[in-house]
Amino acid sequence: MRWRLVRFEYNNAAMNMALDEAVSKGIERSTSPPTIRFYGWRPSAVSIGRFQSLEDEVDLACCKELGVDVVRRRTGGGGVFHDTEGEITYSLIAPEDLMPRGINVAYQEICGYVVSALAALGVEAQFAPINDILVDGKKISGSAQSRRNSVFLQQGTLLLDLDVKKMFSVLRISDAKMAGRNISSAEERVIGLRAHSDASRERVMAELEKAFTSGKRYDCGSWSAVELQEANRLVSHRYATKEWTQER
Amino acid sequence: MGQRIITPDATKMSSLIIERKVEGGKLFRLRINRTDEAISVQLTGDFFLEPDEGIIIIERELADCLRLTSRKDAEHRLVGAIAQAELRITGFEVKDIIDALWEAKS
Repeated sequence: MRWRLVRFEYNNAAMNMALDEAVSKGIERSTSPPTIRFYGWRPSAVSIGRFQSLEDEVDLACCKELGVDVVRRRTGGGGVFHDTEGEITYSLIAPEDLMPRGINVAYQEICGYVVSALAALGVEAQFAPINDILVDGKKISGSAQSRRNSVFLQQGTLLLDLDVKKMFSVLRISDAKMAGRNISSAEERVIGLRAHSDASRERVMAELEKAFTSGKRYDCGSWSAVELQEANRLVSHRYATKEWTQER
Repeated sequence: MGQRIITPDATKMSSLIIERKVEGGKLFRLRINRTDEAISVQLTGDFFLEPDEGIIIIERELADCLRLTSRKDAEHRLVGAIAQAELRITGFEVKDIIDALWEAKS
């Protein structure tokens, strides 16, 4: 089976999430190929996990003041600040039978692509179960996985430049989450690639594409008209609605 | 590691929040809302649950478990409901959530 690689593009938060779901539906109907996509968020956005409480996790007033979008993902996991310039996000969407059956094994495999890309950039990183990648004990990448109607989806990020102040002004970090981590603040828990490498964004993208497509037959492609139509429908019916974002 | 917050309000509803960060796992919060007429439980956090619609089943079962007197029966009930609905949870065990529920009951 041939994969599709959709090269880095910017979208707003709702459209980014809608595209993943539109492709998932396309794969379910056998009309979309397994897809690897890289993307950014314009404007910057916070995405929260499927089961998180919006008020508990996000400072909505601060987001409004800073012009930061907020979206609820279909995947679980935690809140993420997606800075327009400061990170690269990926999604891998495929029929479930193309991926490892075990949740942890699948995380390890896909996070392994990011670890390999970082190694090619001279940065030593480790996969940290359940779903993180660490450099020097600090989180540089997080990911979230779902399996729905026999379609596998993993979304993940790679932090480049870190605007720590902005990140932790829009995200609310629970004391319980920090406890036992032996660090004094949430800021000490994360790191961007720039702290370890001066590789250009183009070089980083090239290494990520290489790592994600290694051993796969693939074509570079874009969205079909049907996928875009479905994504636009999902934006207006789900991802850009208050009902969805404020669901819990 | 956990936190217990009680927030009574003027609408005769009281909320109890139990927060847990599971070691090697994820964070979850149980929000137990009581009124004179009803009791409901909301489960939030950065855990994973497949399929996601299963959250409604878990929340309903947790509310029903609050009426049980035996912790073991509650755990058995929740395990059964999760198995029957073929739900997959990553980030906490049933035992963790029943522990939190029983703390709320105490």
